Amino acid sequence: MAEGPLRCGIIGFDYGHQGAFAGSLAKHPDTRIVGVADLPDAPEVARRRGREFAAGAGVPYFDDLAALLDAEAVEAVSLCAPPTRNPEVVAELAARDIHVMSEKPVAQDLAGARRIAAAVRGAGVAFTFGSHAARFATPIARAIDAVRSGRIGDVRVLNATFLQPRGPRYTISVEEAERRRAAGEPSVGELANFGGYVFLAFTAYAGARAASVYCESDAFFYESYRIAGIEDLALVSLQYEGGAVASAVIGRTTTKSMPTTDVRHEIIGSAGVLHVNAMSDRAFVYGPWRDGDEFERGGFDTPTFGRPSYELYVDDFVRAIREGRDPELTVADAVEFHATLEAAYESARTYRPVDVARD
Amino acid sequence: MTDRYDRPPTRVGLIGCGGIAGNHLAGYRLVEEAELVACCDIDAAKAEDFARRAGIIDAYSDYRELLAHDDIEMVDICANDEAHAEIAVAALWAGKHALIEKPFATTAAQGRAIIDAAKGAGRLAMCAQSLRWDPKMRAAKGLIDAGRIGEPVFVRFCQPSSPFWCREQARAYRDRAPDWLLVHNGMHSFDLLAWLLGSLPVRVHARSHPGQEWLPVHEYVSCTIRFASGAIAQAEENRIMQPPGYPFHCELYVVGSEGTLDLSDRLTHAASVYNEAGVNLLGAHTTWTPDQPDQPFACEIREFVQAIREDRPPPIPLEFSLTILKAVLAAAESMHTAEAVAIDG
Ligand SMILES: NC(=O)c1ccc[n+]([C@@H]2O[C@H](COP(=O)([O-])OP(=O)(O)OC[C@H]3O[C@@H](n4cnc5c(N)ncnc54)[C@H](O)[C@@H]3O)[C@@H](O)[C@H]2O)c1
Repeated sequence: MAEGPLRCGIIGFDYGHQGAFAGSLAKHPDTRIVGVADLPDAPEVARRRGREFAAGAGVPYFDDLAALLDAEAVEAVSLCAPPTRNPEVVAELAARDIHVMSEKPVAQDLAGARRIAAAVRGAGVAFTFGSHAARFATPIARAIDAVRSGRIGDVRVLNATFLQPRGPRYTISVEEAERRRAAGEPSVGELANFGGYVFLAFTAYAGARAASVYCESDAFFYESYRIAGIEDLALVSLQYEGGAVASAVIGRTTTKSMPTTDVRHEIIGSAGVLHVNAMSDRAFVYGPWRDGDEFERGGFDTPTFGRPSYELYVDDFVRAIREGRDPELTVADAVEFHATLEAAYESARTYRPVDVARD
Repeated sequence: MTDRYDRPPTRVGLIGCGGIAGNHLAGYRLVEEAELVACCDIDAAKAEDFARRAGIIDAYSDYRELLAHDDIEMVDICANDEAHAEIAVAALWAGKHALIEKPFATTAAQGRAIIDAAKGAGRLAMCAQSLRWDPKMRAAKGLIDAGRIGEPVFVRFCQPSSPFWCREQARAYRDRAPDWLLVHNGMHSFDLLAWLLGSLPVRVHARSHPGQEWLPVHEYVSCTIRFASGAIAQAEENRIMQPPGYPFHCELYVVGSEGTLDLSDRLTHAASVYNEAGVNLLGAHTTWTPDQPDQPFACEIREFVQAIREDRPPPIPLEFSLTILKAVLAAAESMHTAEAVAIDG
């Protein structure tokens, strides 16, 4: 490995999230941004964001990813390209021994996620992906610690809400949906977009993988979603290996006055119950009394204004590379998520519970 | 006491003097149009004790003796679930109107037999659904019907609680089926959802967790329900909260096309509406006491009795309740087969 800070490339500004990821990488004490690039056919809006970021960071901007990789010795990248393109791009990066931090969903389908896993494993590079809130949001990270340390006994039931109240300006317009439909281009529904935040927290709480999924979903709110054939709200019911059962409502509503994304987790165990609500700065534990620890006050602090989860996630990625270990969210988690998602979509089409595919 | 038609109150016999009968008694104390005149329990001591508390003379241990009294116009069936259908059919054919605790029957055939008896005898019958008259739920229904959150598309309803049973009762629960809690209690939540949404369930899928190992009953069931309107819902039957003593409460969360209604009495007793006007905190008037005139059991009894006296259909049609029962039984089937089940309406 090269001496000095980790040499990072920023690839693709197709999603606004790249600002947070690239910004966190730029701020990190152990990294240096060496260049910004887009895929050759990236839309103008992504290119504009890319050029702006490059100018701000004082690094070169490349129209084509290959040009960046030829010009600079890149060790790791933050990738925010369309999920349909990720498998081929990750394969190219892995072939050059470059570590990848990818926006979610990492692929358009399970087959794509598996191609990514094969490329990453074959090359032995680090890979992580942007479902950061599932493990790095302070309330959820603390809840996972509490549950895994046996605070509420064996996990029996999980319930979650993840409803983002802001409208489709974060996704696609009616015109764009019509264009994509005409061109046969797929779009990303809200279950694919947000589902990882919930399912990957569930697997951590349950300490087990999802075995079966049932899903009812629809485009309830947005015309563009109906045209694009994607869901804006889904109710998912899961059965975990080991017996835990779970339900989650996931989506994007029109309730603009909701102060923030409504994120709530309820973890019901054999010896206690834990409630996490992102709108509160306390998580509530109902369980056996323990003298002397902070639980004495009935819960624990979950400061909303702590370090943002994407910063902690970026830090984990950099350290994982440095320490030669897996990041917290691995490529196996990405495959697991896509297997669960694919089962949910098949269930929503067939009105039947669907087993989660195993490799 | 007489009503605005100068008629004496409707004379009621209550059958099954256990836990819920006490709630009904508190209700009757507030309903001028009705008078409890007799009671019955197969356990004679319970019937006598209830008669004492209610200040009535006639206590029976066989419901047929109670039904033989021509001056009793209505029965209130608070016996255990399995006894409802037999008592209801007999009461209706004996010319009594019947208010029947939920579940008003435990099979669709029993439900149909009660409807047939009510039609044949020309008497009113209704499945009691106290939740519909809970002040919180009425507030929610009022807000939804007033269009405050637009078209409701998603509802989550649950009433988490610790088990009512303990290990010492293992024998009593030994023969209960895994779906017992769902069949016993599911009509509450399914009826509430259908009423709030103004739509009937068409498909249901259920998953369950056994909870404590020593009893066969599954202490947790989560139902995923699709309604004819397209709305989807999650309804829980939840007696799995540990340790014992978890505070019983209810949570209702409704997402509409234009806003969200969040009604949870966990810790705060608060309800909030998020809509185009911003956030409205409805404050703390979301619980009730047994002596307040609009408490749920009093309202439920009053409206049923008024329907009898004014010769109009009861507030909850029995056909509606039969569809709700079928939906609950479909959920029970789903629990066993793991498949989603279409509800035959
Ligand atoms: N609306 C609500 O919120 C609510 C709450 C609890 C119970 N319930 C319903 O009320 C009913 C009674 O529940 P509970 O908790 O009071 O049960 P319980 O066991 O405390 O009382 C039932 C009583 O009925 C008596 N009984 C049984 N069979 C009888 C018969 N053939 N004739 C006369 N008496 C008979 C029993 O001896 C017992 O005393 C159930 O159907 C239950 O589902 C409704």
